[in-house]
Amino acid sequence: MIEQAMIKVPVALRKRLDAAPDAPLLIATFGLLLLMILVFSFTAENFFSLSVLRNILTQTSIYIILGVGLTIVLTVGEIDISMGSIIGLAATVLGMTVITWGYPIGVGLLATFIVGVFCGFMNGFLTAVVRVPSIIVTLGTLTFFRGLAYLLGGSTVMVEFPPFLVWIGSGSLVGIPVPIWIAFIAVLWGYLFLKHTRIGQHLTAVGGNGEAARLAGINTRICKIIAFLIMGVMSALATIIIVARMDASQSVMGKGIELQVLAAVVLGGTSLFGGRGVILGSLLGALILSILQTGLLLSGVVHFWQLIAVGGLLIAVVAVRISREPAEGKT
Amino acid sequence: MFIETTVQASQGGAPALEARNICKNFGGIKALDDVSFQLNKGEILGIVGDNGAGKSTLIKSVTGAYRKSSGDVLLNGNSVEIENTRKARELGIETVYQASGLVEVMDAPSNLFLGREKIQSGWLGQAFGFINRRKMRSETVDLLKTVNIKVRNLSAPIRNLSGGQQQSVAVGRAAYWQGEIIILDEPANNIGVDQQRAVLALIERIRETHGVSFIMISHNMDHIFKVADRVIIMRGGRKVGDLRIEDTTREEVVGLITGASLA
Repeated sequence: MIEQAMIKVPVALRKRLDAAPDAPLLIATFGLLLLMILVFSFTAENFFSLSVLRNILTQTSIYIILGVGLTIVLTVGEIDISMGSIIGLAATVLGMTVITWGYPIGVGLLATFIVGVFCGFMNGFLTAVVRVPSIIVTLGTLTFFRGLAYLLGGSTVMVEFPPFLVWIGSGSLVGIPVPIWIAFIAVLWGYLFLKHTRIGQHLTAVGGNGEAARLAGINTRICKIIAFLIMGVMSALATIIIVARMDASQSVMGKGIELQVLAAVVLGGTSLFGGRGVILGSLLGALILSILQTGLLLSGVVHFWQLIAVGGLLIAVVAVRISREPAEGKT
Repeated sequence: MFIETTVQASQGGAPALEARNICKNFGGIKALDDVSFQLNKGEILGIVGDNGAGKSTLIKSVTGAYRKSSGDVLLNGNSVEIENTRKARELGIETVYQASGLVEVMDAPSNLFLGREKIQSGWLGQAFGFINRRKMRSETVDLLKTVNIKVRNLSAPIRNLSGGQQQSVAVGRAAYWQGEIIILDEPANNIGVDQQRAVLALIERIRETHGVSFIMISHNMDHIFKVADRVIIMRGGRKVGDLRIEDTTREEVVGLITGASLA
């Protein structure tokens, strides 16, 4: 992946690449992904089979969906580490609505989204209007939402959800598992939203230079609230898939998920400092992490080494990227 | 205020912009104390003053970037209420801010159309707000041609351009949006000498071709005396001088800035 830019590129291709500034990054990241698949198809037995890849994709769909949300939050120059607790709270509410109180699944799904929107709005409001830094806001809501979830649900495991939810978790559409479809739609939507809509353009501007965006007449507060709302909605989507796949809900769900999602998004090239969000990169980042973990597991590598590999890879990729950056623009 | 009105009457036709008795307080601090000025049509008005004299605060209070504490703003003789920068732009006042006016990580077309993106004409574009990058790009090419800026890669972040080119994009943006009044905050600060000259030439060219009135804040006496028709001098939040360039000297202006001489 490092050699990518050193190869002499023909003029026509050069022009196309110029028109798509994210292309070299995506090509390099995709190359890394392919390389890993290649390596593991030798070291891990049965790795390169449709069912294993399908499984990996299904598992990763949750991280991909959350990655879309976090990419948008990072693009606007903020961060959200509370998503795991939003999932815990939303899963508890979903379980209580459908199992404890016996409402139809439609009501349960609606309640899940309401929780997501509420939590996202709370994060956004505290960040954009009350102006508490988002790392502190979401550090606070990380425990706040989790506490609410425990308060409501205790440690009860709620099981036996209606068939429709189970279908979301383990059903297929045209041979492709439903979670993959949902993740696909989330990525497609996130990409179009961030790169090709006016609001997406404004979010990027706010993260790139908030003062310039404000002076250009963009409402920076609303942009930030929108980003956190999207994160909340994506958390609700992820909740539905998690609960559906396990056919169970519990207040402890989603714990610790934020670090994996953050790692995936950063691997994908999104800037932690705002102004650059690469949705397709987050997709690739999530896949790389999953394949690395599954591949090492299937190759019989001890769990501790998996942790070391994931952390090492994250730092190495970002280090390579940073070392290449200054050369890019200076004339 | 009464003096201003007589000046205006003697010239026939209302000034493009008139500010009357502008005050701005930050907490207990009086940043602007009863400042009035006018900008005549087609004029380049310089604003000079030491750091903290209230130059930027004055234009920000007039254009709605800050909420002024009191005072009135008139455009072409009509009193207007400018609550925010969006309103200012709707009224034809474009401001080029010092350094912070561009989003450095975004490309030139995105910056040119920042906050006013072109939307696809189909129903999909209207419903979801899909932006028309192709159109934004081609209009950027035209604009850059008219202001004589060469950019190799239009999709590259604007931070890859030189300071002078960035400033030219910012000034060009103001002209593109057909501001009747363009306000420049230190337009040629922190850029190379050649580029400073290019930006000043661009300002004069835009005045010729578009009939725009300019307000130009600057530290640089050479720039003021090169392009401005009139200059007002700020000190400690007050206006301490209002002079035609042809009737004054650098020594006099510098004296007013430092407080060595009094008007």
